Amino acid sequence: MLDDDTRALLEAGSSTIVGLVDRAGEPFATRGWGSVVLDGEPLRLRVLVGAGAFAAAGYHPGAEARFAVAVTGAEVRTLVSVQVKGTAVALDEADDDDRRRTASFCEDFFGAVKATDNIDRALMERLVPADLWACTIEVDEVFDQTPGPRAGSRLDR
Amino acid sequence: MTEAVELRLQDLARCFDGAIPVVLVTVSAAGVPNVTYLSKAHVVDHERIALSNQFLSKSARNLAEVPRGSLLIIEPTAHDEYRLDIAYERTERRGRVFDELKSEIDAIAAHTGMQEVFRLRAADIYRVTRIRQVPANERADGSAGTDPWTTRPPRATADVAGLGELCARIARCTDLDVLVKVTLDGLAELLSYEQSMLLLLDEGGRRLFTLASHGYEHEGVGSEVAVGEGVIGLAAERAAPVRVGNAHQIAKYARSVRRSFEASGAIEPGREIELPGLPFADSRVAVPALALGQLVGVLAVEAVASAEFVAADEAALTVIASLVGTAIESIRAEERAASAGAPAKTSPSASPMAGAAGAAPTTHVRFFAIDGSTFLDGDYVIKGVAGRLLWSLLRQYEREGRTEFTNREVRLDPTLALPDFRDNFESRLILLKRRLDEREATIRVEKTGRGRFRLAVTGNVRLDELPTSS
Repeated sequence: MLDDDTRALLEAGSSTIVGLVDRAGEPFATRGWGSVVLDGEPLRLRVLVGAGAFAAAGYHPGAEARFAVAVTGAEVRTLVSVQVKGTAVALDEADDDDRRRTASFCEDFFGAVKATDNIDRALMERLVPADLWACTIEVDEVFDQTPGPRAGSRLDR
Repeated sequence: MTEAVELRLQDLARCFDGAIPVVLVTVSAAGVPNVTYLSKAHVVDHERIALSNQFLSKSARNLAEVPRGSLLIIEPTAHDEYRLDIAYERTERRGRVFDELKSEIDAIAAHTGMQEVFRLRAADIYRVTRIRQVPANERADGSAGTDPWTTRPPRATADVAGLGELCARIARCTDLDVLVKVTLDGLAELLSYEQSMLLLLDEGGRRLFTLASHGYEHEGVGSEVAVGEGVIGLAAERAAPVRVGNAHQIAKYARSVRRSFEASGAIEPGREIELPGLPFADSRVAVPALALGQLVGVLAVEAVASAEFVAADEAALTVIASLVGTAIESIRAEERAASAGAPAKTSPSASPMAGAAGAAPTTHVRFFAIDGSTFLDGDYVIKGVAGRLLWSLLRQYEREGRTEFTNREVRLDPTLALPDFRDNFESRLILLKRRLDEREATIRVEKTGRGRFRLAVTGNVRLDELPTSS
C-alpha cells in the first residue's frame, strides 16, 4: 500500500510526467492527465495519457502492453514529488470515469498553477490531449523525487 | 502530423528561459525509465544544449549506460510544447558553457541565500537530434485539436535610435539628481522599460542602496540589497549582467531544494531574500554600472511577464549603465572640485530656528546614533550616512538657524563618518533629497548651485537623539 500522502500526491492535481521507452528502445517523455490508485494487490496505478503521444511511442490500445513506465507527480506549490516505477500491463481507450477524472484533475491542476505561477487556464488547456488513453501500471518501486539532495531516494511502500 | 515544420533550436530560445520547468527522461540499460525535473537548461549552439547537473544521480547513471534522453520544454507565452530527442556528448566542469550555466544557477542560489549548497556540479552537453512540436490538444492521430496560437512577440529591444537619444541626454547631465531622473525616465520613454531602478554601491562596498526608481507605486528610495544577494546583488558581485525570466519558478524551485537541505540537516533554516521591485515580476535584468573598472552601482529593469527580456536587453542596458557609471564618477569629481573652491562655510542664514512659524505644526525628529536611523513623526525616513547628514544639518539649523550649506564643509563633518577615500557624499545627499521629496516631508534639501544646497524647513522641528535603536 502507498501511504496516504503519496497516494494523495499521485491522485490530486499534481504536475504529472510519464516516462517510458518507446518501441525503438528510446526514452520518451509525455504528460499524465489524472491518476487513480486501484484497489487490491499488486499495487496498480491507472494513468490517463495522451493518445497521440503513446501512439507516437508505438503503443496502441488492445495490443500487448508490457513495457516499463515511470510516473512522477509533483505538487504544484511546493514541488514535493514522488516517482513510481513499474510495468504497463494494459492500455485502454479512456472511459467516462476516466474522462471525469481528467476533468477533475485539470480543475485542480490548473487552479494550482494559476494561484502559484499566475499562468492562465486558457494556456494550460492547450496542453490537454483531445484523445485520452488509460495506462494501467503495476508498481514495483516508489521514490522521493523532490528536487534536492534526497531526490531519487526510495520510499517505503 | 507533428513534423510539418522543421524546427531549429534557435527558434525555441524562450523555452530555455526557465519559465516552465524542463523535464528529462532517461533510461537504464535494463530498460527502466527515470523522470527528473531540471533547474536549468541552456542553449550552447545551433545544435547543442547544456543541462544543469546538480542532483542527477539516477539520470547520470542512466546516461552512462544509455546516452540518450527525451526532453519536454514549453514556450511560455503560447504554451506550445516541444519534445526533444537528445544525445549525451560530454560533461564540462569549467569553461564558457559551464560558467554561463553556473551564473544562472548562482542567480537561483542568491535568491534564497543558498550559495553554499546550491551549486552546479557540472554542465552536461547534449546534441539535439530531433525536435518535435507536441500539437495543441493533440488527437490520437497526432494532429492538433485546436488552431495554433500566436506567440507573444518579443518586446522591442535595442532600438538604436532610442538608445542613441538616451545616451545623448545622459551625456548632457551635469547634476546627479538630474542624471538619475533623465536615465530612468528615458528608459521608459525611449526604450520601453517601464519599471527600472538605479542602485549605488555604498561606502563599504558591501551593500547597494536605491537612489531612484521608475514605474512603481512607491519609489523605494533608500531600500537596500547586499552585494551577492538576489539578481541585483549578484550582478554587483560578478560585475556582469544577470537575467532571469522566471523569478516565480526560481523561488519555488529554490524553496523546495532549501526544505530538502534543511530536512537533511545540511543547512539551517534561512530567510528568503526580499527583492525590491514589483511584487509579481517574473522577468528581471540587472547590469553593473562600472567606471574606470570600479563598480559604481547597478541598473535593473523588470516586468511582470515571463521571459520578457532577451540578450539584446542586456546589451542595451549595459551601454546605458556604463554611461551612467562614468557620468556619476565625473559628476562626483566635479562636485569635489567645486567644493574645494567654494567657501568653507556659508554665513548663517538667519536667527536660530529661522523660518519656524510659532503656530505652525511641529515635526518631531528622532535620531538613533547607533546606525543613523532617523524618523519624522514616528515614520522611518533614512539611516546610515544620509541619516547622520540630515541630523547634522538639523542640529545646525536648530543651534544657529543655518539653512545654507556647502558640500565642502558638510563633507568634513566627522559625525558623518565618511571614508577618507572615494566618499559617496554627493550620492548620499541626493539620496536624502529624493527620500524627503518622496515622503513630501516638511524638511527638504534643495540644490542652490554647484557644491551648495539649502535646508528648507516648513514649520517647527523638535530634535530628539537616542543612543540605541531598541
